[in-house]
Amino acid sequence: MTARNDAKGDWQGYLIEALKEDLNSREAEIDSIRNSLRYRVGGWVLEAWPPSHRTVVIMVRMLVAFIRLKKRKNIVTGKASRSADGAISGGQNVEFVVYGHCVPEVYAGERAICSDDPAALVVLLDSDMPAGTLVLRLADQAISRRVERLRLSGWRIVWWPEGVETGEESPQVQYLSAHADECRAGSGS
Amino acid sequence: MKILYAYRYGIVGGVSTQLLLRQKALKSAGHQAFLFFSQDNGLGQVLADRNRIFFGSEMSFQKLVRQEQFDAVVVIDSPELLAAASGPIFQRNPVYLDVHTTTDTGLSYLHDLDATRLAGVMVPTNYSAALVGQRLGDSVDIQVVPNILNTEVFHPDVEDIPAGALTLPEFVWVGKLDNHKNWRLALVYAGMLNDLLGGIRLHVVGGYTAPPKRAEEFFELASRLGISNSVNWFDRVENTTLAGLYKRCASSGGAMLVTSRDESFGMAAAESLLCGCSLIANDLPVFREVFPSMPLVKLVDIWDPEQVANAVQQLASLDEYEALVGQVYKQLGSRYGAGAFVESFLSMLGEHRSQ
Repeated sequence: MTARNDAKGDWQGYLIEALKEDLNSREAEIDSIRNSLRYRVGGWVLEAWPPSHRTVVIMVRMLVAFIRLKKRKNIVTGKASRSADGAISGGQNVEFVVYGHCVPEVYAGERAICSDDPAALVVLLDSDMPAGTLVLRLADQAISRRVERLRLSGWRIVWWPEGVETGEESPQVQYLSAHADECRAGSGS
Repeated sequence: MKILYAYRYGIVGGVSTQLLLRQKALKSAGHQAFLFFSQDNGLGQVLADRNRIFFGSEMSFQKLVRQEQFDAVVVIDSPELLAAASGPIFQRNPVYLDVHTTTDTGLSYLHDLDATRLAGVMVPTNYSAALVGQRLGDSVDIQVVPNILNTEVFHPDVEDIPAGALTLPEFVWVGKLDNHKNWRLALVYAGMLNDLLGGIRLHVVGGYTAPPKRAEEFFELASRLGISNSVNWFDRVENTTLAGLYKRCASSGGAMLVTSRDESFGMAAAESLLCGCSLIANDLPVFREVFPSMPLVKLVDIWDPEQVANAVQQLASLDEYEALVGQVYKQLGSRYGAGAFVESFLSMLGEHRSQ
């Protein structure tokens, strides 16, 4: 793993960055409240008094907003969790799960499956399949975030990138390299 | 009695955990408690027993309320369910509001609420009562019905997780990867403590539903801070595993870090203390109420690194640590046990019935 030397000693800078991010998010929340229908309607009500021709304009505006809000509430948003379309089957007999475009020869066999679809793999890995070896040939945040949980469940993690990394490792690759049980190189064929 | 709790979000989090504990406590006391969630955001997947637990739309909620005759319906921070909660006109249920959020945005629905139509309003802490009272007015009677801590899973004798030998102090941070929980600050402190102590490990627990961009930001910040190999991200863990993680951090001389802007109770913080893991937390009003003057707890200005560093060093050199752990377990278990909740909750419902 390539250490980031610029991190050393500049903790003040990182604290300020975190503080700025915190302030920005608080401002964004205030803006969100100001832009909310309730806040705007409150402003309209103030404009509508004392009664004048402007009151009629405001009443129409409020009616339109009310109708839009009702329409939005009636939209079915659907379940938050996605169904496992294209889910990989046969998880119970699998020893090697490969995230990449092909299974390295050393793992080839009936008990190895391969997919380059992180969403499908996530469904498989989150299921109750027995722990095996997860060979990561690509890096995707959906899988990388699960690595330590999988290790705790008994999975062995192998980081074996398909391509040859040129230049500095990406943050995710740094994380995977640091947390894999084994790091390998080469095409695997 | 037959009670229905209703909440919008079926996520694995503080409120759903609390509801499951309350359901169990009420059942043990001879009452039936049903739980309804408008959305299933992953909770359904982890439930071993879905008896009397429902997920569905507002229409299915209306149907449930109509079909079962409840002695009370308690709606948690989900105003869209309040109207349906009262049931058909010929068979009205007393409807209670239970407020668990403490954010300005989360509490904003109270401004539009006609609390006079409710049988009562309950909150888990005096801190929450003050926030809710500011919004509902003095005329509304707000009662504190305390949360329940799971002392069966979280206790000092739990085994730590099998994750290799303890060679460094290990710290833990639990929460969603959102601005409210201030996860970035936790990573910054991991970097600082890594420098200060010559190596640490930070276990970050949570973020199962974090969007992809947030996950990438996490890896990117860990990389910039030079702690990619010091941070373990567990996007989701079972409670028993979490207890083991707390115990591991306690055994290593580490602590739990809480960097949140605000908390409504601090469930994870309390659970870590039950397992003997010290706490370094932002000095929030609710923590002064829930964890009064405990040596295992250091409340600091979370933006002051010197205070955080001093807290780490003080906690690492505590005398009579085992005795302190036992005391904390007893105190928290008593104040926030199932018995305390059931007594308070039924008393509130009983008061309404006698009115």
